[in-house]
Amino acid sequence: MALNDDYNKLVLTSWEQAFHKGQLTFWILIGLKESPKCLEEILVFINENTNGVIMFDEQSIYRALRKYYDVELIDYELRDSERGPQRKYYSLTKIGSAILKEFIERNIKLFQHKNLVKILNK
Amino acid sequence: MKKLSKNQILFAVISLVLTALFLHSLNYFIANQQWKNIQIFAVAFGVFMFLNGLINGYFDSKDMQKMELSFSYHLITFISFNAVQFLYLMLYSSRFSFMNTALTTLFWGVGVFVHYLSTKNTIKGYSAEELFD
Repeated sequence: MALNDDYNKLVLTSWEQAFHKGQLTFWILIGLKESPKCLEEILVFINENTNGVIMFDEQSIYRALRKYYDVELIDYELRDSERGPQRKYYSLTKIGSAILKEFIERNIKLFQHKNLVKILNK
Repeated sequence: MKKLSKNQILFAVISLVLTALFLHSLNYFIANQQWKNIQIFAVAFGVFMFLNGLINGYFDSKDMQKMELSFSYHLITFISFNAVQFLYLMLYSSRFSFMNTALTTLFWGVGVFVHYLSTKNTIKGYSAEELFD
């Protein structure tokens, strides 16, 4: 079956959209593992660390932060801002850190498996 | 035990008033065989109760998770409706039969319990899909 570029692009984009959507939690929590951040800094962190491949809109991140706060994965403190009102700086709670650590062990470190690395570099 | 929010209290009060009005008119219309009015009032009662839940629930949605919110409003509706209904039965020995009322309450009660079980199976009021969507 001959596949043209447009077709390939369409399939790849659809796959990527679904793949990226499921990574919102990971990127937010990994950003907060690095250091406490406000919403804008989380956006910058994701953009920089994924070379702009993975992007989420502010509203999605805000909704996610609110939910993670409700389930005690993250906490926040208000800090003064040079521009305008105080900002919420989010950080991982003990529960959040423990769950992220376990998630990384079980899901992210899979990609470091010797055999998989060999296949990826093939 | 959690305290009721301002909107939950308002919802309960409006539900009590609407239910009392509805049951009283229902009793009157049955006594006078005004069947069309029964239909109109039943629909009106449903619409007003829906708006009551929609508006009060909207304000509570800022502070409560969806699953918790829907269950609490369901429970308040169940309690307020049945409280008025049984009170009405006792006070006025109306045309509603006690047995029919008790059966309705029982079936509805099962529904409330099932709703409670589905709420219990959540992460602080969020379903897993909702939390990580």
